[in-house]
Amino acid sequence: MHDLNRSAGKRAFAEVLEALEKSLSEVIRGKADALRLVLVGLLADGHILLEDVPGTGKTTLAKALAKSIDGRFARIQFTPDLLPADVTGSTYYNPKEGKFEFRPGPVFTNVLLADEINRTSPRTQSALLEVMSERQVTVDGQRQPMAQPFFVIATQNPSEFHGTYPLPEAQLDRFMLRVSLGHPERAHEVEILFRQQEREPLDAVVPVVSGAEVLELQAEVRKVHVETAVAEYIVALVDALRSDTRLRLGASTRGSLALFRCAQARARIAGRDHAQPEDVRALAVAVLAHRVQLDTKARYGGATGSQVVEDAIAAVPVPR
Amino acid sequence: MHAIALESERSDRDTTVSWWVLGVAGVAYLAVAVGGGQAPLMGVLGLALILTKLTPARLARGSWTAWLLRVPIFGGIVFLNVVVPDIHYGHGLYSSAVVTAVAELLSAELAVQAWRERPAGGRRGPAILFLSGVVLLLACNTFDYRWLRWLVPLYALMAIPALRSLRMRKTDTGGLSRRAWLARGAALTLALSIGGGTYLSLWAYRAEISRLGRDLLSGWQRRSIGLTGSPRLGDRMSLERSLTRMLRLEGPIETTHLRAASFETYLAGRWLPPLQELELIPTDISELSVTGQHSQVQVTRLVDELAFLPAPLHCAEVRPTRTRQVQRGLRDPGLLRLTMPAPYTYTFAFSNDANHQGPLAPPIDTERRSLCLAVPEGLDGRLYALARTIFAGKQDTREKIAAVIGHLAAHHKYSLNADRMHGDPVVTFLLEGKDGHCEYFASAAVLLLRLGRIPARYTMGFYAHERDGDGMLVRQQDAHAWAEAWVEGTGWVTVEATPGGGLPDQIAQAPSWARRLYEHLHDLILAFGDWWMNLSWLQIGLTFGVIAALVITYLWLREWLARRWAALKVVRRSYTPADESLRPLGARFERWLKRRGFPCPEARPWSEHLELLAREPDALRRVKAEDWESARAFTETYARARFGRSSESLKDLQDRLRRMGG
Repeated sequence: MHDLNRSAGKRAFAEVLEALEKSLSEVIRGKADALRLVLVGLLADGHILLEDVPGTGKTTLAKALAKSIDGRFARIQFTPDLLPADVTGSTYYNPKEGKFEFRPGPVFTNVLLADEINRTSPRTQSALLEVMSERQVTVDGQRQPMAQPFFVIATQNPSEFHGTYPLPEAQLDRFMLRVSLGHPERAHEVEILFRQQEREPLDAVVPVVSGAEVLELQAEVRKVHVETAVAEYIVALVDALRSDTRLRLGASTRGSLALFRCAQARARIAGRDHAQPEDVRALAVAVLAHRVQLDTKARYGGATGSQVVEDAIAAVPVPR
Repeated sequence: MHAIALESERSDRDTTVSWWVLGVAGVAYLAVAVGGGQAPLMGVLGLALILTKLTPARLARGSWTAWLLRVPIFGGIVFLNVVVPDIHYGHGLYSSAVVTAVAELLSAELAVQAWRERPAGGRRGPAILFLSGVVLLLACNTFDYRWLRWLVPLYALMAIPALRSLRMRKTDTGGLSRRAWLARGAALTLALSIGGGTYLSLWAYRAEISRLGRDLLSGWQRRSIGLTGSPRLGDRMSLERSLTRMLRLEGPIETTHLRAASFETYLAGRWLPPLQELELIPTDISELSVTGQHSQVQVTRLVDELAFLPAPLHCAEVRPTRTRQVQRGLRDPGLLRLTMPAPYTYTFAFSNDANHQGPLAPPIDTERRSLCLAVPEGLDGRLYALARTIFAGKQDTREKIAAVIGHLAAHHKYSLNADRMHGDPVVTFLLEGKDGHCEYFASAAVLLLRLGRIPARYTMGFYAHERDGDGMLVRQQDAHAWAEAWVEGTGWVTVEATPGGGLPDQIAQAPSWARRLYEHLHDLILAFGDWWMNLSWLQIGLTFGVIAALVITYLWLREWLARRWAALKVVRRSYTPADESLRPLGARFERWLKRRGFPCPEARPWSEHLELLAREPDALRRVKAEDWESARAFTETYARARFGRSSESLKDLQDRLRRMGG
């Protein structure tokens, strides 16, 4: 087994990871699992959708993560009157130079916090699509590449809330993971109250990893070995969802890909050089639940995407 | 997981014994009560059993309160059963008093067990079922089975649901705990007691069962062949309903009397001497073959027990096969005796002349003539008067014979259930005009003919009348009796005095389709046996060769199908299988989990399964902590070997499994 945690001259994987985790957990208390998922998404080179009721710390987490990475950080507060150009940027006439110039929008950054993404119109939401999946912006026929790394962390309220536009399926599919924070436990909540007595913990967050280091981490994750049987297990899970009669739409191949990459990331975080079925199972709900569309009957029957995915996990045999 | 939790909850709730277990114990008590006359004691004990359901109070385990109950009860039982009685039936430990006392002691102990506190983590069911089984066995061994044959089925019925109380799991080391052994012992005792009781019940019904068997298959042939001993006139014919096939006749033959033996001496309702006392002389079969061309009838004797070669009185020849010698009656040369395993085939030939005297009907000599004219001494005078009336004005022998047949037909009716006769049955039959079967008619005809100075004898054999394809079939119910008379100038003639044209069994029923099917199968088996017996060594060798080839083909096909099926299964699971070297280790680990009662579901990785079990108190109690630790280490190493790139040492995995006892 080659040394996983030490590469000459650089900080070890575990060291970087620990620094990131520590930085985030200073701000978000008692949510180790959610933080882990967010890190999985970051290392798997995917975008994350934080979905929960207001006031559970979504924006705080997103900001803490953004601030922990030493790179450019931008934030878009999505509102109903936001236009696509406000996201991607636009071309304007520079009278001094006497020509049209491209003014980059806030997406030209390393970490993009898309706050309350479902409060804007689908048209503006779709503007993010190209950016997220192709990592480029095309304005007036001009192709503008994004910076590396590029990481979108979006927050949204559950779609049933007032003043929300549900994200279209295609948009949802572009988020690698959907993470919910939920209310903290009582002890943690008390702790949060006291920690914010004197100052905002978020102010104390300083960058702990560089953008280059994040890219290295992502490259390492891609090297994690996935046995054929584990990949087959991923496909079997996705396949089970596709044949589930409660679903109008099963998970896409992009979903399988995301699960594959996330399993690699989780295995690497756990210090392994190979992925196991356990990694797949641990991530399946976060990776797949937001990609499936329940049919009307199942939705009114009280079923949820998470529940359908959990059922598939409980039913599909595990490779041994 | 839920299932495991529920299981432990259920065993915690199990504070009382189930009704089924109590029912089983109750039936065992009942068996002692009805058989041993111990009703009051058993009633009290039964009541004690029921009370356990009404109150949660129990005798504490490990205290002396249980002994406070046991000592006086046990002492009382021993005193009353063994010390008090003056007379003991049987010897020592086998005496009924001792067995009764032991049954009562165990019954009392059973009640005490029901009242005791539940053993930690165990159940009371096994102990109670064990004791009840022993009690029932004792009851079966000693007591009256008239009641037991009802109680045993009841016991068995209750024991089936009660078996739930015997479910036990293995200990950490994979062996059986003491309680589990007790449970197995209880199950064994239950089975033994039910088996013993069933035997006893069958014994109680043995007469009915054997009659049923005889009626169904008529397999009980030895006694019912009817051609043994000497004819005795009773009120029933014992063979009237037996459908056992005796003879099959193939050839040009009509209904006919096939005689087996004749008797000359009549004494108080019996014809003597008995068959087994008849003097027989060896005869060469050439003596039986007198004439040349006649129509041949082939006879197949279908039962071993029929040691005669029945043939018509006037047949021209009898030709046995596979032998040169038969036994022949000294006084009655028509009696041919030959013991051969069935099916045995012989032939006889018919003469076209109805009165032809063949080898079975040699001329009468003086000594035999006097025997055939003898009437018993002190015969009722009214019988002479009756004979005089019948023969009045008749001079010709044939006229006299016709007169006798006419008288019997006019005054008597045929009945298989003859009226009960008093005194000499034949005399009563004749004088009082009673109903009777062929034996009465034949005996009466012989007596009357003798009173008319015609030599006559009583003959028994079969009346062949049932057509079977081209030939005839003779069943046991076709056994018949008739008379033979000597007519001067002609010889022996058959005198059929039974009404109805001589059919002995007009009220007997035709065989059912099931009977026909059985006979058909029987014929097939016989034919197969016949074919097998006539095979040459070469043919036998070839047959075995073909059988061996079939077996080998079957085994090969099975193996091939199994492989195909395994391949299909792999496709169905659709996962690339683990390495050849790893697979058996994985299978062993799964068996290890299963043996400990915690099989891992197909859709759950072992590591998750172990984590779940680590929170399960039942699992922690029953499997040693270090074993769980080893299991965890095993799954980790296995997963590395299975899903990782690095090669793990298989030896390490094997060692871990061995240490765990997997």
